[in-house]
Amino acid sequence: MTKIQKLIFILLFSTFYFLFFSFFSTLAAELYLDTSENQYYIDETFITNIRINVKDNESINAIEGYLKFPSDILEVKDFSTGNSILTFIEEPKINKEEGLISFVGIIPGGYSGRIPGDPGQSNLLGKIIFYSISPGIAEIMFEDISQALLSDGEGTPAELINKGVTIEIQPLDDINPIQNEWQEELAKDKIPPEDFNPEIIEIDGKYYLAFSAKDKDSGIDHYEILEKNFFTNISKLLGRVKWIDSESPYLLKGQSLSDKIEIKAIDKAGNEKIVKLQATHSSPWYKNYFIWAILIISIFYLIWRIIVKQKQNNTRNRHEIS
Amino acid sequence: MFKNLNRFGIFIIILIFLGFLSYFFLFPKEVYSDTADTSVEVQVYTPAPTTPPSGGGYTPPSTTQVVFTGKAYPKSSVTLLKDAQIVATTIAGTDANFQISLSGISPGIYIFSLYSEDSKGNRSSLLTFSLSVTSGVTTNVSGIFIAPTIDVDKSEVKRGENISIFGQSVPQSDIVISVSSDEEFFTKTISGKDGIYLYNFDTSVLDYGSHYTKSKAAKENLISGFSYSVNFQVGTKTVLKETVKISEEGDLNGDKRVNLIDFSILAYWYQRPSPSTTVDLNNDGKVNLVDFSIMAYYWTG
Repeated sequence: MTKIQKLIFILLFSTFYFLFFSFFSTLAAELYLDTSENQYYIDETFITNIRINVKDNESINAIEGYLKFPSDILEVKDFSTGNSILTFIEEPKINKEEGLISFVGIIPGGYSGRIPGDPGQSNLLGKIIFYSISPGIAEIMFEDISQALLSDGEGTPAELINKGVTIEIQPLDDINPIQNEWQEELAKDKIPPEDFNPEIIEIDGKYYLAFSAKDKDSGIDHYEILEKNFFTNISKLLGRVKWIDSESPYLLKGQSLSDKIEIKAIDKAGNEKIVKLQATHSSPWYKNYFIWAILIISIFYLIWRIIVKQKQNNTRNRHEIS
Repeated sequence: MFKNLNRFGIFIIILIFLGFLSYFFLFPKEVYSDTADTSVEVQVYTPAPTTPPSGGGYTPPSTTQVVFTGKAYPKSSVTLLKDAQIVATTIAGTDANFQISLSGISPGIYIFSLYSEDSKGNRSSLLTFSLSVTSGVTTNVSGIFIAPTIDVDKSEVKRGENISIFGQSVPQSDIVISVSSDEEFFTKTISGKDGIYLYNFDTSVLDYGSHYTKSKAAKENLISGFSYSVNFQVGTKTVLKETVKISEEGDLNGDKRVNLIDFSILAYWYQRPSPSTTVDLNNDGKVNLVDFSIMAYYWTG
């Protein structure tokens, strides 16, 4: 084979190699990461966006993502669900020691891609907030067990290609100021979470509270619940109101459903939205502790008055006799 | 130059020729299209700033608004979901056109879904898309074309007899009906002035066994997505279908809706052992992402 023939053969082989894999990659959806830069310094905090693209004529409605990152170079500070198109089934999980992140959620109705003219990148699934702890090349990659399911009524797995991101972490530089992309986003977030509608649901004969708020900036950080009854009202008078950290669905302490319930959604920047739920069942009077307390106090007062009056009568009689 | 061509050279030239053929005629030009294959499109309108009256005065802040315009069915109810929850409903006109405006929402990324209900109470599939809403502007979403409803008159049909496939869409629109088993058959009809369409499909071309059918509509330059699929059997006898709405799989609390309440019940059972058959939507003995995907498909809000 002459040199020119060899060159042509190599060029052709490369072309067909590229075309072959391009062909198969057009048959798949794409789960990918992006960052604003691909180089940071130690002690900097940066945001990695998780996004999805779908292929033509395909709709995806469920995604499960597993990511691996080098825990000797990067530390995960947080996972923000703000502006995510996913409804999360559970809180994203972070294993800092093993360098693993996982998230799972659905898109009711399915996601078929951005529509023409959409002014922004609306294919966002979540944001990971990383902090760089040592220099090196950090590869943040999806694990092969990540999956996306088609919106076909059967949960058929979609062909999926995962694309991670490689970040270079450089040693500290005295010239450039330390960046904190997340702090900048939190400082801009002045808007509380959106209104939401909690519901009381029954599971296995017990009453739970189901709720899901959305925050279009930094994302929901956590929820707190206050079940208001006689005892909590007393606590409130004493200045001791106890909100409880909770997740949906939340097992109600007051299973008689006579308590009033308040749910507080707090975003990552500390903005709050409180929603109140009226009791769904009006309980009979004999189940109201407050009424019993009044009755008992009244009875003791009456008894005390009778005893005092009796003593007064006895004292008067003794005086009259003497 | 060509005199010296040997067999290897001819082989290389043929490969180059096939390569160009494949690249330009078989493979799409873009590896990914991140835009949906739909007639829906977005236009963002920024209202002109108003000049305050001389001597100062109050300039009202611009409102963040999204306006949805499209086609459903004549006089049908159209429901809009924002992030999977119902936020608005309207009634389409006799021409099936509708418009819904949503004001005062926060800027950000949303998932919007629309569906309609036909004159028989059958619900359409969801038309869902993501959208970035910008503060202080009006975002117009147009070209919305809700998929037809679909149903069949028989749950089982004797092979060789006709099965009626019917539903509702935009009046005088082209309806494409797909009937599938191992092979997919396509047929066309036109909806009437009331948007109702009907097609009698000859089942002699189908094998014995389970099949499904779905439809989509086209009018002017707009194309809808596909409807839900409806199953039927081709066998040795005919059984008329009882009046049953599209399966409400995912309706775990029996309120005829598939929404956050059902999602929360399913979330409770996520990866827990021994789930009940009610929540195990695909009957595989566990509650995992597949069950949530089935629920998401039948979502109503």
